[in-house]
Amino acid sequence: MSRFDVSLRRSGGVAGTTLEARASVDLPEHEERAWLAMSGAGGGEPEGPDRFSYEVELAREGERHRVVLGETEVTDDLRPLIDRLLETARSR
Amino acid sequence: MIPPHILKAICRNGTPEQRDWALATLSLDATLRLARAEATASRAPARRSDPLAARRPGALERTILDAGGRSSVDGARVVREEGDPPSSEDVAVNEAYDGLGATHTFWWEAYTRDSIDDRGMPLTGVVHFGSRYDNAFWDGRRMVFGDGDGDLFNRFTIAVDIIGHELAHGVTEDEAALRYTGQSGALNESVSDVFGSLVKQHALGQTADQADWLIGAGLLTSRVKGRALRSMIEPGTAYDDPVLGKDPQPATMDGYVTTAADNGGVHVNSGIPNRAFALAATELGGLAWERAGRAWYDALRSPDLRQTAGFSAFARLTLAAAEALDGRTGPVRRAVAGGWDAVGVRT
Repeated sequence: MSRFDVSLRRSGGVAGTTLEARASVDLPEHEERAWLAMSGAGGGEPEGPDRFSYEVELAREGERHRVVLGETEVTDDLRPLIDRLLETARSR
Repeated sequence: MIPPHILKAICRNGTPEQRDWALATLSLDATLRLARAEATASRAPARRSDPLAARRPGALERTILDAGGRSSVDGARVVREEGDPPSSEDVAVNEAYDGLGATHTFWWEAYTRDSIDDRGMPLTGVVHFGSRYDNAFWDGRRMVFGDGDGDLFNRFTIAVDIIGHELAHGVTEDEAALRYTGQSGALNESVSDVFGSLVKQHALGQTADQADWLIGAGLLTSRVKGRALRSMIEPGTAYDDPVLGKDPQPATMDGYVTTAADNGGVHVNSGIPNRAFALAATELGGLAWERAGRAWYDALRSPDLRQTAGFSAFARLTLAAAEALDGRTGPVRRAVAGGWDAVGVRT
């Protein structure tokens, strides 16, 4: 378990609306491994019309990781953090 | 023998007598093709996917599948097929079925286009995709709908123009393959909004001045301060909400947004060509798919439309299409030119 300050920005989708959230989260080890493996990756070709794109930044003591993901790249290990931050973004 | 594309052009542009003749010839042609296909089928095992096998041009063939909340279409279960009665308890299934039908009917009745590929491609819709999934998309083969999160977005089958929007992505892919980034991406988006809106106007029998020119009315929940996802006639005014922020669409080139997000702002800058279309259509009046929509459709199908076309290149093709409809000084060309001029796109 490791604590990160995380920010998420979801763009695209047919709605074209942007959702943003920031949170301090404890990541289980397998999720941390999955996220750090994606660090600096992504941001390639569009996946197709109206798909979401996620920009995630994870930071802890001097480390900073930026990950840009298309929605088809979201694996089972990456999804929980994204879902959690989306819930934060939706709350009023 | 007259090639089918010429006959279709006559169906679209001819006098009523010419249209009747061309339609009869087209159906005779289809009958001949059918007879040939049947002769072939009697020798070989029938294949249901054979586009020539026992199919009437313009016939609807819909299948709705249920993804059961999974983020994958694999294993989705068939819940309604063409001709089946409505599902009694699942409104998303019925909305998807009806929306695919309205869209198919629009393309066939307005432009004699036989489904997405103009070759009678069967239509497949997948509902209940993902968990609290705020989206609908065309994946190159089928339409996929989420249920929305319930906080910001309702189910994505709720708006027929969204269904029309997604299927129009299929038409654009088939005809023009506009690259989904920057200006060509914003054009790709705008073409989907234009024909999505026309699907709705056609289904409701609305003239241009009766249309709301909104995209996705009904999709935002009552908690959101907003009317829809986008306004074609007044881009930037669809919503202004504490969570979603303000509708970021510009109405003119002065407000063109440069960004890396959303594939270069394809859902943002689409407001500019959207408004050009809405202005041209309302200036012309009447049924928007007949003249303004026709010019846009002909531009989309032009062999001169490049995959990387920007707004100006597309605008010039709509002008050429308008001129082909009623001449250089006719009302269509004048209205289309006025629309592009008003949003600051040089032609």
